[in-house]
Amino acid sequence: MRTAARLNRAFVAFSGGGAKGLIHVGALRALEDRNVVFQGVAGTSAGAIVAALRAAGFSSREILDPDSGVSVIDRLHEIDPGINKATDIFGRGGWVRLRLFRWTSRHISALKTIAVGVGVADFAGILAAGESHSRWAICGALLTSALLVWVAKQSVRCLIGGLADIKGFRDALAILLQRRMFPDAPERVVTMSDFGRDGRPTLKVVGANLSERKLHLFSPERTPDIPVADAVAASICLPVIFRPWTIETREIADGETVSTKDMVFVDGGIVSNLPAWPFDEERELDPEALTIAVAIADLSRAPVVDRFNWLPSAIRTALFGSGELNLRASGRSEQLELESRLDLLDFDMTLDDARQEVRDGEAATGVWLDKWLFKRPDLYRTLCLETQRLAAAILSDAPDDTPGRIRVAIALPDRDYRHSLRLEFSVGYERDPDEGMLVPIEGSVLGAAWSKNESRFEVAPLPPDLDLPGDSNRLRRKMVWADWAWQVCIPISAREASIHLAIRIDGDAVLPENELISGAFDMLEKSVKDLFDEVVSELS
Amino acid sequence: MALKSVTFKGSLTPKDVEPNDRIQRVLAKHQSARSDLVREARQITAERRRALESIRDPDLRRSAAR
Repeated sequence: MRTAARLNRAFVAFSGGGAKGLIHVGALRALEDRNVVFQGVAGTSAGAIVAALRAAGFSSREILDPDSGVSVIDRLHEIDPGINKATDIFGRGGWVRLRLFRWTSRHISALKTIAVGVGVADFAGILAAGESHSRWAICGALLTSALLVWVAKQSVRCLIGGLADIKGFRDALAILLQRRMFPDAPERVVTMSDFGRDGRPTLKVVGANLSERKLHLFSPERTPDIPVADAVAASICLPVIFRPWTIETREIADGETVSTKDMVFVDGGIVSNLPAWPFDEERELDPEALTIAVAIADLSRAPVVDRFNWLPSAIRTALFGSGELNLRASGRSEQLELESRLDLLDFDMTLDDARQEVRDGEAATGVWLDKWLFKRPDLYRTLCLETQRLAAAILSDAPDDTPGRIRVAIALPDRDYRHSLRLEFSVGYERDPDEGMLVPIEGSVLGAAWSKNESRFEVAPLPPDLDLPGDSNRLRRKMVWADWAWQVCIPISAREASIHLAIRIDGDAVLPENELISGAFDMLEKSVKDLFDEVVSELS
Repeated sequence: MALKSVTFKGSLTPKDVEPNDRIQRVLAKHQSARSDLVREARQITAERRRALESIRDPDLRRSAAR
């Protein structure tokens, strides 16, 4: 159930996004301000850095405090004096090459024209030199050609081999984690097995294992001995930008190393950029904990794609386009999808811009959290409580004056679901297995009220076509409250607010089927509908 | 009567019956709770609007507003 009281525990996944990952710090800040307790954190690429730091105990303010400007870069500088700013994580000369690459990629059309011009001019020069029969002219033209070929070859080599080296950052991160987690043990290497115990959240990091050609999940269970700094380095090695990262893995039998093998990794974003799915088992074991997936979208400033410029768009689609799939396997999760004006490689933004981006990320996350997990859900739950109180008061006027047990829930479709409604924000369901149940629209009273947009009042027993018929509902029928005697389903719709929901009220008092009862339910339906209509209209 | 039913045997034809004193008290109490809830909804909307307006990054503002 989405209520603040039960939302203390959460599994949080952070997606990759290069410099856009700064939003994650703001998101973290918003989560911390709402007292979310991190049961587990996962991340890919930039998200892996944030996840590892959070799991090690760094607060958002320690990563980058928008008020004071103090950041984790200051701590890395204490460890490695060569790291003074964010661009220094790319190693010596790395940022210069990346700036050149960024400039080149932004002026690719003009550069293509120049390259063609230079090629044609060089070819014409060779022809002219041949006709002139001048040895110097021929040598000059051939040397120019050789130089152009060499430049092109070096550029391709550099791109394929990676423009920057992650080693300096990896080593500084390893010491940073050790100093935070084991300050009295300078030789201690922080490994994946250090998480998920001793009060620390579990940590999961995704990398792309090129040696085995598959996704590689670094976690306390699967890779306990791998240093966290290596897992993070592997996860952020975006092809072209970074050289691939190699990790030595060991096969251990009877406590002894049998063999070692080098595995080569690149950025986990190419296989799973939003790792919410690694928490499947934890979510099954703690179904009331929530999974919050903070995704960075890459929708803005997309160029018009044609047959000659599709490759950069294809790479961005591979990195950012599968968020929905990555989330799908984890059952009920909430995905926050944020865009940013920053580009992937805008690591050279000013500190003031970085601080503002964190503030903006915090505000944007807060807006989303309050809508989907905190303020609005709390209001919905209070509405259900008022509806329950009202129903009990009205039914107390019935001849037998025992309203019995009354339950209320709001039914809403899950994200992208079209054939079912989820019972949410419920009151009175605490003892029943149908709390949070997914109700099919076909074959249920609730579904009939929803699809025909008309309020329904039914008493037990239901006709077979409304009583969850068919094999697909076999398990669901077992979950239905056995003692229910009546139910009312009231659809509420506010198109201007994109809100479409239904209220389900049910009770166990067997009521006489007379005009007094129908009058009571008529009054209840009208009062509840007016209440929700007015509130929903205010939320628009 | 706005309610539809296939199982309720009694009449669902609405009757203009004056609510008794107890029901009137129930409805008055509900009216007060309703006002509070509507006010809360209005406040949530205002806070959301203020938070959105505070976001300077236009792309972030747009995505948060979804």
